[in-house]
Amino acid sequence: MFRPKERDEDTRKPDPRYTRREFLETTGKIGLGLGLGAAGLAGCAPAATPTPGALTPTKPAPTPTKVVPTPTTPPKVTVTHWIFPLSGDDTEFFNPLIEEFKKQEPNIDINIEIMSWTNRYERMMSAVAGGRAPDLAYLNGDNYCYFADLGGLVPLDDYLAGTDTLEDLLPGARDAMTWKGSFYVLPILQDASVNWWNLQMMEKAGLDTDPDKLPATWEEYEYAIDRLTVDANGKHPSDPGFDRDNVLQWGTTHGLLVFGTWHMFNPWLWQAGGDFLTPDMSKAALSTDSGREALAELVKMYDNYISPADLGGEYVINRTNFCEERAANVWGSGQGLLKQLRKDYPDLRFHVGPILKHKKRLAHGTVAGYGVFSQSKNVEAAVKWAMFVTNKENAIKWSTFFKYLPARVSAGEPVKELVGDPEYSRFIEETPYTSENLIHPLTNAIMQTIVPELQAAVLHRKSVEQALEDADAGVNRLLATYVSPPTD
Amino acid sequence: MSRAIRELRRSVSGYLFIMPSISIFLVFFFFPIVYTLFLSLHDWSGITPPNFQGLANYRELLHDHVFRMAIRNTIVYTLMFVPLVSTIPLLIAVALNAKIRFRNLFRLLYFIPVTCSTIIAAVIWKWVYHGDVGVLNYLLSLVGIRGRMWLGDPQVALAAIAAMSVWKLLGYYMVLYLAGLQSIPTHLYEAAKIDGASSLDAFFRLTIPLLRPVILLVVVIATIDSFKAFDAIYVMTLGGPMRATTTLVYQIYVAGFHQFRMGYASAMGFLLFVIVFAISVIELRVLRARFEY
Repeated sequence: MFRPKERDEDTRKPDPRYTRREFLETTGKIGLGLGLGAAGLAGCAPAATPTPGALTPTKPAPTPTKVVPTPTTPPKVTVTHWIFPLSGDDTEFFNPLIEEFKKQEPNIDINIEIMSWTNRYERMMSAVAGGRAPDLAYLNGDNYCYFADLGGLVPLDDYLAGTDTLEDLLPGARDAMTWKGSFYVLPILQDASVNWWNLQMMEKAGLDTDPDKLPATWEEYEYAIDRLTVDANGKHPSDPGFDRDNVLQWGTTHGLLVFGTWHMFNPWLWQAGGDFLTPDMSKAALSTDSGREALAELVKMYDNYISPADLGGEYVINRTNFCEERAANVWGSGQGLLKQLRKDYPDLRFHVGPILKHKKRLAHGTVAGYGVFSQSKNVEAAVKWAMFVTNKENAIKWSTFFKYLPARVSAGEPVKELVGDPEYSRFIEETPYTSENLIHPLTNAIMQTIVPELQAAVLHRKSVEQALEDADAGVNRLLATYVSPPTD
Repeated sequence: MSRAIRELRRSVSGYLFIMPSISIFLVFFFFPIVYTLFLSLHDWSGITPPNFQGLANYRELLHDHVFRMAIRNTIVYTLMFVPLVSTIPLLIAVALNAKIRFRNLFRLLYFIPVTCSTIIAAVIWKWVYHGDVGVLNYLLSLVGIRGRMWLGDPQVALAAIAAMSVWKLLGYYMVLYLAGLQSIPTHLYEAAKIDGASSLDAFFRLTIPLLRPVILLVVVIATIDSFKAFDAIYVMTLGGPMRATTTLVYQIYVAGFHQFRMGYASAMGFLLFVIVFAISVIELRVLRARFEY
C-alpha cells in the first residue's frame, strides 16, 4: 500500500494546488461517466429515421391488387478466401472472376485475402485452433490431410455428385486430395518436378540435344551428367585422375538443406519401386532393397556430380546454379523455374526433359487447390465459389493466367495452345507421371524425420543401411504418437 | 471517513500509474507462461480438444534424443554467442568512446545491422556462406586459405549461424556499453593517469569494474537471446545438416506445427522458460557486485 506521510488533520491547511491524485480521480470519474453514457445512448438509440430533406412526392393511393407471394431472397453472405500470391498481382485474375460469379450468385460476396507464403501452415493452424479459419483456402496435397483427418475440412463428395469433376481430374490430382475415401480439396493445379537440361553445355559435351532423345533412364542420366561434369583438365568423374577440387562445371545441382524430401529423394525412391510407408500406412518402409538402391543413387550423385557447395544449399540456390550455368542439369524443379528462365534468362537454351524411369516412371508433382473449412459459417456459399473457380472454363483461364499446369484433363490441350510455350507443353505431358508427396496428416513431420538421415548418408556419417534403419525407427516413433480419429 | 478508506484513496493513484505495466506483464508474460504449463499437461493437436495426461509429456522428453540434441546445440550456441557479444562490442565501444575522427559514422555503421530484419540478414548471409560463389570463401582465397562448406558441414554450421547473429547484434550491445562508458566519471581516468596507470591498467582496473552492471545486463540479455535462436536457423539451415543446428526453439516449432503436438511443444517451452530463468538468476547472483570509487 502506498503510505503518504502522516499528517495532523486538524492543523492541515487545504492545499491550493491541483494534486496528482485529484487529477487521476477526476479523470477516472469523467472516463467512467463517458463510458456509461455512451453505453446508455447506444441502448436507447431510436430507430433510423428518414433523412431530413429527402421528401418523397405525394402519390395517389394505389388500387388494391391481388397479393402474390414472392420468393424469399437468400441472405447476403461474405465468403473469405485465403490465397497465396502466384503472380505479381493475383487480383488481376480474381476481380473479373468475382464480378462474373456475382451475376450468378448476387447474394454471395467474395473477400479474397492474399496471405504471405511464409509460415502459411502455421498461420492456418493458428487460425483453425483459434476458431478464426477462413471459409476456404489454397491448400496443398501434403498439408490438407491433417485438417481433413481431424474434421477440419468439409468433404466435397456430396457437392460433386452429379458433376463430372472427379472424372475430369488427373488421377494424381484426384488421389492426392482423397483421404480415407472422401474428397476434400478441389485441385486447381498439378505441378511436375522434371529434369532440366542446358542445351549449350550438352552440345559442348557431345550429347544429343534432340528433345525426344534426352536421358530417360537412370543409366542414360548418369552417363549424361558424368559427361557434363568437367574438371580443369577436361576429365570427368568416371576418368582416372578426375580432380574433384578443381571442377569447372558440375553435371547437376541439388541442395541438401531442404525442408522435405519431395524434390531431393522422392524421385529416386519411387523410381526404384519404393515408398515411405507400408500400403496400410501403419509403419515406415524405407529400409527395403528399393530404399537402399534409391539412397545409394542419391549418395552417388553428391559424391560425383554435385558441387560440395550444394551441401549448404536448397531450392533457390539449385535454380540459380542452373540459371547461372554452374550446373548443366537440375532435377526436381517444377514449373516455377520455367517462369524464372523466361523472365530473367531469356538467352539460356534449355529443354524440359522426361521424368526418369527405372523400375517405375514417377516423380513428385505438387497438387494444390481450394478446400472449405468446417468452421465456415457459409459452407454452401464457399463450396459454390470453389466449384466456380475450378470449373472447366475457369480452370483454363486460371492456368493460362498463372502459367501453372492444370489439374483437369480437359484443360490440358486448350492451355497448351493458349500458353504457346513448347517447354510448358512438355510439362503437361509429364504430369501423368507425377504424384503428390506422401499423403498423411504427419507428412511434414515425417519429412523432417527422414531428411537428417539422408543428410547423414550423403555426408558419409552413416551408411546407407544405417541411415534408412534410423529413418524408419524415427518415423515409426512419430506414427505411434498420432492417433487418427475413427471414421464414422 | 474511516482511516482504511483514506489510506485506500491515497494509494489509488499509485496503483493507477502502475496498472498499464502490470496489465502488459500479466497479459503478455504471466498468462502465457501459466497457460503453457497448463497445455504441457495435455495432449493437444491444436484442433481437437486437449486431453489431460499429467506429466506424460515430460516423461517422454526424458527419452527423446532429438530433444537432448536440441538442448546440447542450444548450450553450445550460447557458449559461442554470449562470450563474443559480451567482449567484442565492449572493445568497439571503448574505441568509439574516444575522440576519433568519423566517430559518429562508425557508430552508425556498426548499428545498421541491428535495424535490419533477421530474416533478411539470414538470406544475405546464406549467400555469403555459399561454398562456390560466397564472399567469405572468396576473401579467404585471397589470403590463401581454403574455404569451407560453412552451412553444409555439421561441425561448423552452428558456429556459422552464431557468427551471423553476433554480427547482427554487435551494434545493439555496443550501444549499451557506450552508455555505460559515458557514465564513468572522467576524473577517475585522470587520477589514474597521474598515478602512473597505463591504458591497459585503466581498462582492467577501472573500466571493467565500473562497467560491471552493464556487463551483467549484456550477459543476461545475450543469454536469453541465445536461447531464443530460431529465425536464422529457419532461413539458413532448417535445423540441419543432420540436426546440427536444431536448437530448442526450433524443435518446439517442429513439435508444435509439424508434428501437431502442441502439448508436447508446450512442455518443451515451459522447460525452456525454467532453464532460462534459472540461468538468469545464477548470472545475476554471480556477476552482481558493485565497485565504487
